[in-house]
This record gives sequence, C-alpha cells and structure tokens, in this order.
Amino acid sequence: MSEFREQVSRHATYSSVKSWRERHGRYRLVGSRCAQCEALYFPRRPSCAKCEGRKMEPYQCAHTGTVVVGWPQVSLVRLMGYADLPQRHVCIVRLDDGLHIETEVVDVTKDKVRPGLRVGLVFRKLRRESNGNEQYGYKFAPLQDSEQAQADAAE
Amino acid sequence: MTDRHAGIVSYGVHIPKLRMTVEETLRIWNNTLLAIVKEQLLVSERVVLAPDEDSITMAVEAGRQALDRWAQPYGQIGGLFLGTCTNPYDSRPASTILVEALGDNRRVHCADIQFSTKSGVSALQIARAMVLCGAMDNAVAIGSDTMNRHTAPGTFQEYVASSAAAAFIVGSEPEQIIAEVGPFETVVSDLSESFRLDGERYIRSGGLSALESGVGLFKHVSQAVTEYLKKYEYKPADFDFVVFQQPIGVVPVALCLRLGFSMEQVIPGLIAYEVGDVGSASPLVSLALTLDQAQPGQKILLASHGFGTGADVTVLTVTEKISEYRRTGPSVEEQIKRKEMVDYATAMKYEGKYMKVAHALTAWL
Amino acid sequence: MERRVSIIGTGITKHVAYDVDRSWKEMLAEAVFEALDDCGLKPTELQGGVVAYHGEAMLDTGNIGPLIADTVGMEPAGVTGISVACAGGAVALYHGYALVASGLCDAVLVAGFEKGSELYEYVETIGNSSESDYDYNFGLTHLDWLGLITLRYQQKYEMPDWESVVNWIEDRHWFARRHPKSFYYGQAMPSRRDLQRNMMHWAAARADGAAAVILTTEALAKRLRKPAVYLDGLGFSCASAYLPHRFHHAWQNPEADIADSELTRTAADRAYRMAGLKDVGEINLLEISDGSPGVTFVELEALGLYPRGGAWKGVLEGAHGLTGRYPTNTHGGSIAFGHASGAAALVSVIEAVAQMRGEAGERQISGPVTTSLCQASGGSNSNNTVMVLRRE
Repeated sequence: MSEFREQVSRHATYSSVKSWRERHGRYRLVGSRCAQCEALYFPRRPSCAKCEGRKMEPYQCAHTGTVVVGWPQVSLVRLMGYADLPQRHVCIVRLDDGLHIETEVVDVTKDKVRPGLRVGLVFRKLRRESNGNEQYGYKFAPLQDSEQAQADAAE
Repeated sequence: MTDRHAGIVSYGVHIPKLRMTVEETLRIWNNTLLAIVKEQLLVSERVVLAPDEDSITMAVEAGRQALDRWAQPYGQIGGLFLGTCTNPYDSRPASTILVEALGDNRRVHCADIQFSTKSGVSALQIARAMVLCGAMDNAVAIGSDTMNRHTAPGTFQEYVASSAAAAFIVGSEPEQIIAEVGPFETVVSDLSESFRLDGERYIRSGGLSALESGVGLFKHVSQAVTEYLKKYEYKPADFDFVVFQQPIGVVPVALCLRLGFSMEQVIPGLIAYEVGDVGSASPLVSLALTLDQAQPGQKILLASHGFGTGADVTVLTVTEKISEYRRTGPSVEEQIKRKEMVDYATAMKYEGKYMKVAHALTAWL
Repeated sequence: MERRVSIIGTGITKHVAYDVDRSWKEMLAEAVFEALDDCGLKPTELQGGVVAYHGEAMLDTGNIGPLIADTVGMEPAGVTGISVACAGGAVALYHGYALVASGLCDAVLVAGFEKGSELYEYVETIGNSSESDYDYNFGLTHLDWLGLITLRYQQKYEMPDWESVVNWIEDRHWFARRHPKSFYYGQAMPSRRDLQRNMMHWAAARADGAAAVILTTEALAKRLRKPAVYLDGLGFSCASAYLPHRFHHAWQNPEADIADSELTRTAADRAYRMAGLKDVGEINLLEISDGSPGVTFVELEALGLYPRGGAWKGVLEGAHGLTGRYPTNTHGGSIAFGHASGAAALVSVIEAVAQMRGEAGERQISGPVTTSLCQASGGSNSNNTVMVLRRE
C-alpha cells in the first residue's frame, strides 16, 4: 500500500473485529432496550441508566426522523476518509421513536438543512479503516415526497 | 417439485442521485460527436457515483426497498445472491455485508455472483432455481454495478458507464407472487468483449456491444430469444413488454427491430437514454420499471446479456396479486427523475479518478 | 478531617501555534519551574503530581507520569497522567486537591499541556475522545458539536443576530492583547467583520502550551510569600460522551437539550454548597470554557448567572468585559489566549489566581477579587467541573 520504498511505521491500526462488533448499530441503528423497564438507547449499552437493569435486548431504532439542528461542517477539520464531499451536513436527528442520534445528512442542499426536515436512513460507505477494510454505516437523506406521503398515510 | 412456484414477490431499485450529461464529457474530451452519442447510441446522461456509494451500498438500498414492500419477516429469507462485476472487494464477499445490513438473520444461504454484466440475471436464475427446488422458500436476487467507477477517462464507454442496483425477492408462496418467473434459456460463448484483469481498475472494451458486429451482444441475445420462442412456442406478439439488457439506448431498439417485436413492447422499459449503462442492474431496473406499469395477466419477455457471457431469456407472467402490491418508497420513474447534475471535474473526484497520495497524512495532507 | 487546600504557585508557557524548538517535556518543565519559583518550593518537596494531556497518540508517548517525575526532578514522588479532553487541567486539579485534602500529600504538582502541532492527525486524535464508534467513525468531530450547540442555542432562544457573540469574542481578544503569554499578544485587534466571519469556528486558537500550579495545605501556604488562594468548592460531573444524549437520555428529564448544560448545573450545585457560596452574585471574576458561542452561553446560564436563554442578552449589554458586572475570561480564554487542550482549564484557574493576587497588570479588575468561579467543560460537554476560589 505504501508509496514509500520502505514501509511506513505507525501505530494505531485497529483489528477489523473492533468495527465488526458494532456492525448492527452502524448498518441498521441497532441499539438497546431494557428488558425490565423498556427504556430505549442508542448506541447499545450493557445496562439501563433508568432502572439499573442489566438485561438489555437489541433494539432496532426507527429509520426515519426529523432534523432538530444541523450545521454545515467546517472543512478545516475534516477527518480522513471524509474529504471528498465539498460540503457535509452534520445533524442531530430525533428519530420517530424518540431517540436522538448524530448523523451526516446527504443528498441535500444547504438551504434544506433546517429543523423539521424529514429524513430517512440510507446505507453508505463511511471510510476505509486503518486496517484497510471499507467501513459501511448509516447516513440520513431527506425523505422523498412519495415516502413522506406514504408515512403520512400510514399514521 | 412440479407443484412448487417460484415468482417475484417483491422488488426494489436504487438509482443514485448525481448525474452528468454526455455534453459535459464531450466538453472535456471532444473525442466523438454529440449526435453519435445522443442520437445513435441513444444516451443523454449517466449516473455519477457519490464518494460514499458503491455496489454494496446501492444493493443494500435496493434490497431494503424490496424487503419494506414485501413486509414479511426477514427471517423468512433463505438465500441472498448478489450479482455484480464491480464488487468493492476482490476477495472479501459482499453478500454477507448485505445479509447483515438488511436485517437480523444469519441463516441465509448467500453468494456473490460475478458473471460480468449478466451477474444480476444470473443471481435471479439461481434464486429461482433454489426456490423452485425447495432448498429455500424465499431468496433475494440483486444486481448492482458501478460501471462508471471502472471506466477509464477518455474512452467512449465513459459517456454511458453508470451505476444502479435492483433487488428482486423470489418466493414460493402463490398468495404473494406478483409475477411468475418461467424457465430460462441460455446461450453462452467464450468471447472477450470486455475484460478487467486482477488488480486492474478499468474494464477494457473494444466496443463490440455497440455494433452489429456479428459476434457478441446482438448475436447472443438474438440466438437466445429465437430459441426460446421456438422451444416454448411463443410469437413476438404474445408479449406485452420486452425487457432487454441496455448497455446503450440503441441496443433494445435495434434488437426489437431485428427480432420482430414492436416499439410499444420495448418503450415502457427503456432506461439507458436517461441513466446509461447500469451493468448487471440494467435488465433488472428495466424489469422493475416495467412491473411498475404491468397489469395482471400480462407477459414480460426478459433477455439479458453480459459481455463475455452470452445471454439468458425468460418469461414472466404478471399475476392478480400485483394489484394489491404495496409499492412503498420511490418508484423507478421517480428515481430516474430525481437528480442533481454535476460537472466533469466533480464526477472524476467522486469516482476516485484523480491521482492521490497512497499514504495520506491527514484529510488535506 | 479534610484539609483546606491552597494554590501557591503558578506557571504558564507562552502559547504559540507550534513550539518548534522544544519537546513536550521541556515545555512542561518551563511551566513547572515557573510555578515552583513562584512559591519558592523545590521539586523534591513535591510529594505527588497529576498531569493532564490529550492522550498517548498525541505525543507518541504513553505512561507520562514517570517521565514527568524524572524531567522536573521530583522523583520518587508519584505522578499520574490523565486524559480528560479539554477539561483535563481542571480535572487534574480536582484530583490534586484530593491528594492534599486527604492528607496523602502536603505539596502536589498539578499540570496540563498540549503539543498538538507535533501530530499531523491532531483532529483525528482529539476527534475520537468521544463515543467514537458512533461519531468519530462517522466523520463527526468536536467542532461539529460546538457548531450544533451554537446553532441550537441561537434557534431555540431566537437570538436575533450574532452581535452578542461578536461582542464576546471581541472582549476576549482585547484581554489576550494584554497577556504577554497569550497567542495574540502584541498583535493588532481583528475587525468585528473578521470576528463575525470566523464565528462558527473560533472554537479556539489551537496552541502548544503548558500550565502548572502547586497545591499545598493552608498551614504551609501561610508560611509562603504570596497571598494564598484557596480551593473552597469543587464539583465534577460526567455523563455520556454521545452529544445527542444531551437531548434525551433515560435518566434525564425529557426537556433536556444540548442548548443547556445539565452537568455544569450539577457540578456548580456541589461546588457552591461545598464553598458555602449562597449567591453567585458574590463572585468578582468568572473563568469558563469558551469553545464556541453556544457553549459559553449555556455555561453562563448553568452557573446561575442567567435564566435559560438569557446569557446572550447579558453579553450584549457588556456584562463580561473588564468593567462589566462579571468580568470573564480576562486572559482571553481559549478563543484568544490560545487553547492548549490539557492546559486550557488550568490556564483559567491561573488567571483567577493572578487576578486575586492583583498581578494581572493591564487586565486587572478594579477592586479586590476575593471570590472567583472557574468552570471547565470537555468533550461533548460531557466532563464538567466547577470550582470556587477564595482569597482571604
């Protein structure tokens, strides 16, 4: 991989297992639900912060939600692997089950990123891990008119 | 075995939002004439891949739409076959990523099918066979390709090379089947129309598929269709829709004339003029677009082709169930129309065609 | 019985973008020696130390405690390295306090430093001090949090324009021009237009720098030459580092919001009770984390100076300048003094000590400074400390 003749020294190359372990959270927003009091959490966690119960079940969060606040990411502090899009929109989204997540909203123009924008989960490439593997996970994109109409009809 | 059914129970499509006109590519290269591309090849735009999209992400999006519409538990899926010739990984499988991205079910018989641009229909064939033989009751077949990322700047293919994915769930439950899938007829041929060797980035092509060359696409598709009609005693007029592989827009038109079909049969499924060559997804996106319009009882002839592979033909018979089918999410037409145009420089950047350092120090160093 | 703890010596290095000539050890040693000289103690008189930094990746060096004990000549005293994001210096002070108050040590070194310029992937390294599988791995950074908090504050409280924010930044730049150790010392004041343009990412003038204080008992402090400054109240709170949890977490009330700082409220409550501070109006000086406009304003509110959504009005009216009701961040804050992550929260405390001793020169607040309030937050507002400092 190296473009240098000698291999480059570095530390902090993480096993692919580290990322694999969280794949369901990254792919499908799987968090936790307390078996005792039914409190919901994302990301997943080993105990309930509300009732102190320690039996937690996987819980797939809602895949649609509403932007609470969003801002155009400052380009100076772009992380490696996220430099290709000239503008990224970082938002806190309130999912339809009440949980809040922080996510990038894609396929959107700056003027659309406002509180109240309806968004849905999309599956995208995040970046290549230090071990060379591609990392995939959720981002959000504005719900298309047809999807919103269907969601409204379902209510 | 004879009393088992195998048919489409659901489908989904994903066409990325970004597009580029053929005029934009021509502006940079000036290596052909606009009239040739737009009026003879019949392509006006192609998809540009966003930097965070690839064959896997598109396949997941198409698969999620198909599963949402099916509305049955994911645990009932017994198989998943991803057809792609542009797998992001050469050796690591992609279908396993799909299985876990689509839901919580680890008992899925899955495989990546790499059979050039016929991979998607090959996946469909395998899914049908698996369901029909009773190995599983429901299987997902997906065709997904990023031809644009694997096409070199400055080549003629660059005008048309595109990306999309289509997913079909093949099921055995007659109550769910919206279109029965009939037997396949196949013609194979060891002809190198296009190729990409291990470790190479770009698919190389001599452009045979664009020509009435006497070998390749036209010959193989014609042969397969002709033999199919003969074997199952069909006439061209028996079909309400005819769906062809569409590396470029002129292909289905030329095949239609050559094989005795009418333009009315082909037009409802045309996609290449607006989205270009979507590889393995081509006949499947076209089939989905056709199913969006189909009525109970109608018959669809599906003919695929992949460079260097040959051709497959089958017939789908639309059932009564299609009138109850819940088409959630955007239709194929909506996805074709939903677009944001980008310029050539942006397309090159997003598709990773600029030379960058292999060992980045930071995002900008 | 808990012993009263005093800050008796302070030291800061000049904060610069890249301290090219010196290693982190030399930089830290300068701050430590300045602090020792300030109080007249010898390194060997130190019985323990707590030092904050931003983690092993920042330096390509881990296990810094023994290295520091050796470097500054305080062997065989035990030194602990800690990594608590931008609140590190204050959290080191919290633990240093415990060493003295408990009777384990009579004189303790508390320090913090940052040598971020040494690392190309600085943003990556500070970026993962969070719920990294679910934010850092998604390309979401600390700067995003600051921006989101600011925009949320502005939208929630209908802040009509950015005038209050520009006022706030302008005041910090004014102070920093008057602190010889600051990043911007000696430079021309920026225009309000420039300040406004850079508003969203004036999180800080990121700097290399180190800061150190010496803590000791009341008895020992009274024998030294400078007026003692006492740490009379401390509070330290932590909660999930996943920013969206500020909105709604099972244990919180459903009204919780990123445009509020519940953790600072908790820490302040404890610190005020411990110090017997009945009314926050008693304070003469305020030092707070100023990573972004929104964060600044929510901290001012959480400390009890304003009702929710009211801070920007106070800032607009000039309450936090040199002659305001609550002079604040009189060294220039992270915005203009320079932000050396591990040191920043300690630099705030050192400024409070300077003001309380009457050593702040051009920045000196008129009238005696007997009570100061120092607040720090780190990460996604997930480590918050509040301290009450008093002078007799």
